[in-house]
Amino acid sequence: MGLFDALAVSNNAMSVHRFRSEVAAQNIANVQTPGYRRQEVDLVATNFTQHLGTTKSAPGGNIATVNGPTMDAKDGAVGISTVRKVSGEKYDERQQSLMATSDMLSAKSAFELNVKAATLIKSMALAALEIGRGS
Amino acid sequence: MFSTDGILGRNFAITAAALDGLSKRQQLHAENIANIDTKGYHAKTLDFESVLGSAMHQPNPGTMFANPLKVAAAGRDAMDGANLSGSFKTTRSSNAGVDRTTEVAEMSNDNVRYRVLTQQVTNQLSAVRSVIAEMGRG
Repeated sequence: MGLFDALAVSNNAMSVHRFRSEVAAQNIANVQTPGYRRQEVDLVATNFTQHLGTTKSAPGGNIATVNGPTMDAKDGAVGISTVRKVSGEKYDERQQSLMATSDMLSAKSAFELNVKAATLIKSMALAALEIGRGS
Repeated sequence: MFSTDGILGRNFAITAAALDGLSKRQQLHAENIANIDTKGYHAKTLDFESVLGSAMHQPNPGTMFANPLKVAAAGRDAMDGANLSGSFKTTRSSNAGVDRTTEVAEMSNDNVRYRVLTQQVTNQLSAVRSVIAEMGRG
């Protein structure tokens, strides 16, 4: 079912982008922690079956499960390939928090875009339900 | 006398295929938007209008009152119209990256078209329904 698959793609993307914002929040929270290394999320285009219920736990705190619905969209959905600890960077606190904030903002904007997409798809599904009504 | 394939006609099959195409394309838009921050992702698009356009301009395979066998075949062709969506092909953009403005604009556009088409299906059904009611009265 096309529309349900489309909705599943957006829903999955929402949880992936929410995950990114959690990692960014963790980076912001630990800006002053000695020895903490910034974490980065790598995204990958994937199919859902690979990412079904994968838990991505990052060192320094457990981060929630990213749930993917069961379906097969050929490399259309977004998934998390790795959560990396960035090493060898010599940034001061201010630069670290700027980077984390920018990660946070881009995750937020991607999340909102996916909400918009899901809303549009939902309204199409509702329109399809109206077929034949009142004729 | 109107010529049609089956009671709902060829237009109905074409509308159904268009609805199918639109919902497939919405899925591609959803996928592009999901991958807005994915490095190396190429946006995907679907052009189903050209497939439908050529299907619409094929000659009418038969009329309702010609020959029962022919009518049956025409009915099958009309069903094939609904399966036209099988020949829709996805193309992948040669440039990496997703343009969020384009995606959202096209998504809204397709959303409106989908709603108009569902309304169209309802109207076609109501026309058929009133024909049936009139036949019952006669």
